[in-house]
Amino acid sequence: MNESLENAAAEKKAWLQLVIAAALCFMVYKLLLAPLFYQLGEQARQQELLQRELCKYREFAAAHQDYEAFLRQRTERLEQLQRRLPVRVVFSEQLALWQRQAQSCGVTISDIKLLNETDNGDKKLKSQPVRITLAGNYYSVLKFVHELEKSENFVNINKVNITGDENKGDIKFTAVFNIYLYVTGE
Amino acid sequence: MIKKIVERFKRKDDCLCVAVTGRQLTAAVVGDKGSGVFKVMQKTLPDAAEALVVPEVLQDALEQLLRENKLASVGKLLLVLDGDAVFLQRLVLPQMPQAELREALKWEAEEYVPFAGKPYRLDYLAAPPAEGMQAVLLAALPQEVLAQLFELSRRLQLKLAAVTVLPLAQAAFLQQRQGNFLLAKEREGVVKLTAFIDGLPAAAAQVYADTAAVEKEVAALAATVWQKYNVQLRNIFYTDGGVALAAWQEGVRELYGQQYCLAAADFTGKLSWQGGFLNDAERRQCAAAALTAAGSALLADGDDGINFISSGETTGKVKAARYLAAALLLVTAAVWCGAYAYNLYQISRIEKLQQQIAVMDVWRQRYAAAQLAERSIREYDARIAALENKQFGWGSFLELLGRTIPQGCWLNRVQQGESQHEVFLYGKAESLGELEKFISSLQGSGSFTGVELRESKEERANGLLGYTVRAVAEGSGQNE
Repeated sequence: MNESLENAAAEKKAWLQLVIAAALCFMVYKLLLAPLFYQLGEQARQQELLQRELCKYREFAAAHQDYEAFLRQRTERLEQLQRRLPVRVVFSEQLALWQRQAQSCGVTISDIKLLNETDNGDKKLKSQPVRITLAGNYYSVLKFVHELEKSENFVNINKVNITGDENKGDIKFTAVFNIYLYVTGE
Repeated sequence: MIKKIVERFKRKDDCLCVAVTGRQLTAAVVGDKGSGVFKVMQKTLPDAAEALVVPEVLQDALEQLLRENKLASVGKLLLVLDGDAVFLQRLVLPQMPQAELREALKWEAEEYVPFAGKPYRLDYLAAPPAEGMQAVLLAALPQEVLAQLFELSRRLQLKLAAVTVLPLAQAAFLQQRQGNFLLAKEREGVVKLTAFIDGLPAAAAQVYADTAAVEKEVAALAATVWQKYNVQLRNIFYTDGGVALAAWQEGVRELYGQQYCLAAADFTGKLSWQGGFLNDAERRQCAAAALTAAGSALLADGDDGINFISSGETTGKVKAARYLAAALLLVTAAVWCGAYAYNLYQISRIEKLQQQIAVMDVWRQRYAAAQLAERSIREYDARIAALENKQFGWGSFLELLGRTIPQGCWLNRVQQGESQHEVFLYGKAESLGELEKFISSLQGSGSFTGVELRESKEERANGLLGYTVRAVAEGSGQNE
């Protein structure tokens, strides 16, 4: 009897202990473990990022031991591209350049007209159209066009109209030359 | 030294059974689960101190006993209290289920237990029912005595396994748990007689240690039992170490007109301790001495005894609940410790990586500069490629025209269409054949996706053929 009475109390006590233990575990989880797990996740991410970063620097250092030469090569390339799409063009200088090229090719520039800027759908690029009329024999014009295409800054020749003069054998070349300017972030 | 350390970690399964009767203390070391009695010790307490009244006396005596006998393997303590220290009441109740019996005994205890409102611990022992009735031995022990015994076991660093009562221990040892018998025991010039019915003590008497007086009292007690319980006692067990009972011989003997079967407490062959003694006389002496204590071990082993201590064996549910609670706490603690340790490890690794990156600071700056330059280069390249894709290659086109136009064919005008890659050619040809040759040459150049004659008209004035040709260049704009 003694044992039975005590066993009932012991059973109650044991279940109470279990409930308390479960509650304690839950509190430990909520207050200590969950934040710790979150922190561990963050640390794992941070560690991975740092690892990748370190790896990048190491690979870069290994690949570019002669860093000065690499830097020079990339700078030259960038400068070349910057000349192709310049940030700023002095229109008078550009015209003078074309005049010189036309003269050297035996072509006469008879008409030049600066047109309004056009929207080309790219905020980083600004295009300045210029209508130009040239006159000269077919091969002179061809040479001039080749020179333009090879020039450092990019020129797009558009809206071309070529007419021939049957009597003289010359042609008249009318086109819109688009000069592109690179817009910096400022 | 090593032996001492090993002994400290050795399992202490043996049980020290101690029977306390007045100033007399009998102890026996019993193996785990009553597997055998290893040692029997007897001690008389000093002065006239009752062991249970002055617990310190009992404690000193037991400490001395443990020390003197070097009982290192003893881990449990079983106490057998004299019938005087415990309230025992034999009741006869109608047969009923155990649960009801427990409830009934609570009410019966309220009536019989004489501890004057003090808290007490109850237990009972029920005899097998007969004719719809059952005999029940109700036992009660004051809580304060029990608390003293717990304190004693704590001080001795032994686990208190059981607290039981002497008469039941004696009956158990005699293997008379359900028997009707009379037990005579001589001690200090007094013979104590106890009558057992169904293995439960029913009546007791004391008489001076004189053979004739004892025999007379035996007859009187047997008559009382017969009158009160309608049970005829035939068996008498006696301890033969004293003066008065030494005259008795084992076997059938007639006392006051009744025949009794006398048996000395010689238990050769009933327990496993025989091998430890040299001869029959020694074995007989020890058996008598160990009667109370060793019997208690047997009693404690089963469920059908009085025990004021819960066995400590918990039910499966209790065990499961406790294990689960412990496991939960343990797992949570382990997970937290693991996670915390891993957290520290991660922090140290991050610090190490940051240090390594700091060492490579020069390369970090160079990498950043290179990345910036590469991004700019990519942006420029992409834009230039897009512009070149839109552009019509006029240089190549004019060169192609000069190369492919046949002798009998002239161009008057070249005009770009709405699309940059569309060109209209206006001119004159001497014949349709010359014009076809021109168109075929343009188509064969591979620079155009389509070349078609849009219009041709014969001019009567000069006999030439006026024409309009539409040519569509490839989208790439590269006409080389």
